[in-house]
Amino acid sequence: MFYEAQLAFNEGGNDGFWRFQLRDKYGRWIKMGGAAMFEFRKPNDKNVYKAKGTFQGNIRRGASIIRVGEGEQLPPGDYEIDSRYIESIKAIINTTSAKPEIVDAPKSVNPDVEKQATEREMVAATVKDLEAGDIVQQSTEEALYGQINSVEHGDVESKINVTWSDGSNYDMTLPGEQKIKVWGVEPEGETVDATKEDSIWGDAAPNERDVVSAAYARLPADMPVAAIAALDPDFATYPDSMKSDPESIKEVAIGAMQELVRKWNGSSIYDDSIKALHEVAREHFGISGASPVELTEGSKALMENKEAYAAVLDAMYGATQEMFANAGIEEITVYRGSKTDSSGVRPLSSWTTNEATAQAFAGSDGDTREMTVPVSQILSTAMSGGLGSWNENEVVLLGSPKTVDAPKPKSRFEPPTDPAEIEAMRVDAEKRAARMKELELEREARLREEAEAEAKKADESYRMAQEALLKKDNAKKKKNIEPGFKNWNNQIGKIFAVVEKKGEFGPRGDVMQATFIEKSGFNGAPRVLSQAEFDALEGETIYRGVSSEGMVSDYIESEVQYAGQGTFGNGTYNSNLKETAETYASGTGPDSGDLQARVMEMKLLPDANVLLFEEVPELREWASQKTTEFLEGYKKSGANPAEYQEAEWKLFNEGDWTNIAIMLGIDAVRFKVPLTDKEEYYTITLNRGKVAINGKS
Amino acid sequence: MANPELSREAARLFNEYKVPLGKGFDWAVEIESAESEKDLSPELQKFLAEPYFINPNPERL
Repeated sequence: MFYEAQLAFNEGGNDGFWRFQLRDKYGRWIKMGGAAMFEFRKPNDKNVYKAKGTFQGNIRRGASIIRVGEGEQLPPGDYEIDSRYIESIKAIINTTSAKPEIVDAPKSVNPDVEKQATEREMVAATVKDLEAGDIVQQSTEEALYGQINSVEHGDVESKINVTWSDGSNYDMTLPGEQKIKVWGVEPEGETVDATKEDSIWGDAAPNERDVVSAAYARLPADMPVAAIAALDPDFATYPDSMKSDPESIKEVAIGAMQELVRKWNGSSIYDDSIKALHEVAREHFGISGASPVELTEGSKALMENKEAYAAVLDAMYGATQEMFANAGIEEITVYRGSKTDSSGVRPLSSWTTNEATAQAFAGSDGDTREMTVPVSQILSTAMSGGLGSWNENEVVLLGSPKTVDAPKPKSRFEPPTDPAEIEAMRVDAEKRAARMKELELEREARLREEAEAEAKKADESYRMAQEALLKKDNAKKKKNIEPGFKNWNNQIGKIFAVVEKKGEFGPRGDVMQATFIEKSGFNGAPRVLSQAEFDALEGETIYRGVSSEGMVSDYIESEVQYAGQGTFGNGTYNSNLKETAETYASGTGPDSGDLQARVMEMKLLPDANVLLFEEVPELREWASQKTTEFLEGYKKSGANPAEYQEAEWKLFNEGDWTNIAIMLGIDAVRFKVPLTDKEEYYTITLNRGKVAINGKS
Repeated sequence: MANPELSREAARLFNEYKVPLGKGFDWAVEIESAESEKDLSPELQKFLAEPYFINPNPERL
């Protein structure tokens, strides 16, 4: 007869089946119990050594346990090895504990085994029904078919030799009573009588994702999905878009729960997350007397997320209890086989409903225990919750019948029924709410205080900035020389020194006039007005044409006004005729665009001190007279002959009488343009702060 | 109305060569009414051509 069997390989302990296999560094599947060679370094030794052993299963994705026997350069034992350093090999390895043993691969392989197997009808059978010639399928992620070469059935175990379709050949020992799925004719052996308890297992292994998804659906609605997703250690590395998408988080959460199930089914104690699961179960279900679990730093870190673990345990427990309730089963007989004394168990312990499986675990020298437990003590099976091997009919118990007096798990999320407990919870809830309110008020008060402190700090900064500005302004004001010749006598020498140092002409025009302007405080900004404001301002409109728009903005915005030069005297020239300004603006300047943009439209402020002349000779007379007046006063003030001569030389020139005007506090000088029939007046502005400019000009 | 280029150049030279106040006003009036250097007096034309020949002594009016 031909069977297609799903075979599982166990290592004989109580840690369940190794069902998930790893690829080696070449991407080849490493078979359970298969030979493997890996590279390693010894402490304080840079040399790379190689050791051989047998693959025992995955401890997690990317790493597996290799069992090393005698004769290697490592002490015998189980080693966690990164898959990148493992190479599967085909060789006979004599180890003390390697099971099954590997033999040389035969050369002939039946190419039709897969086809023959898949054409058969499925029936139930056990390992002890296998015969030579049967076709089996290895339960790896990659379907691998094999042909039974020889079978030796014992009382408890069956030794079989299989040649897989990739050419490898294995001897292995399996429990004779292990149930298998068979496609083919009815097995000749005794079929398994289905019992009420057996009914929970169904005819085929369940879809793991379906089972886990059902458990996921039982998670409480108020349980943050992200907390479950946090079971995935890689969650932090996922894209933000994934973290914020509920559907993506759900997938991550289900994936994390599946990974937890796989780790349990691969190794119930090696993995940090499984250790954390044990300890959370101990606390959450109040399990006492269970064996300690050696916690690692990694498992301790995971336990910080114990609410998520507890929620997962509740969900698995709920699904399991519902399954038993639907099956009408209140208690169940379970078995546990062990090669050593294992009266003590961890908070979560593996049992089976199949006595033969337990006996296989126990082996010939071990011990098998049988207990009848209430189903309320069962956390999970492969059919419900996900934890547990379907092949082994494994049930995961909360504690042990010997160590725990049938604990009654209580879900955090199931409402209590005891009125006293309800009342206690209500009081607690009220206290919590009051405390939360208190904390919220404290938080609001703290935030308010912080905001006020920030505002006060900002106010203080603003006040200090204002004070600094005021101080700066005052300092500037103090520098301003009051109008009147006598106030300038002791300044003239300093002004000449500035000219001596900077030169007569600089970036801001005529250096001497610029210095007079600065000392007199004539560098104020012009007042920029809207058209309406400008129109409303009384006074004559004067125009100034410049050769670039940059000169317009310079006049309005610069801190120090430009000291211009002119034939009648230095200063900023303006005309009451716009056409004159346009003529100056249309010269050979750098701009040739908008002419009007280079014509400024201005007025003197009403309080401007303006000197008016109808004829140039009057102006010339005034200029000469005032210059002489200043020089005489300067001489009387104590200036020596050299100082006087220098002042006379530098001030009695045509361009500089405007500096005499500045000393007298004159903001502008207006005079009629000579030798023209037009009623044109030039206004030489000296104090920019007394000028208003049409912002639209 | 002055020729802007002529006016600017004259103002620059008046300052650079310290043209005395009285002389400067006379020349300023000339420049204001001239369309080109040809319209200026020979003295002013000479100054604009060779400004370094101006009398450096301040002139009192």
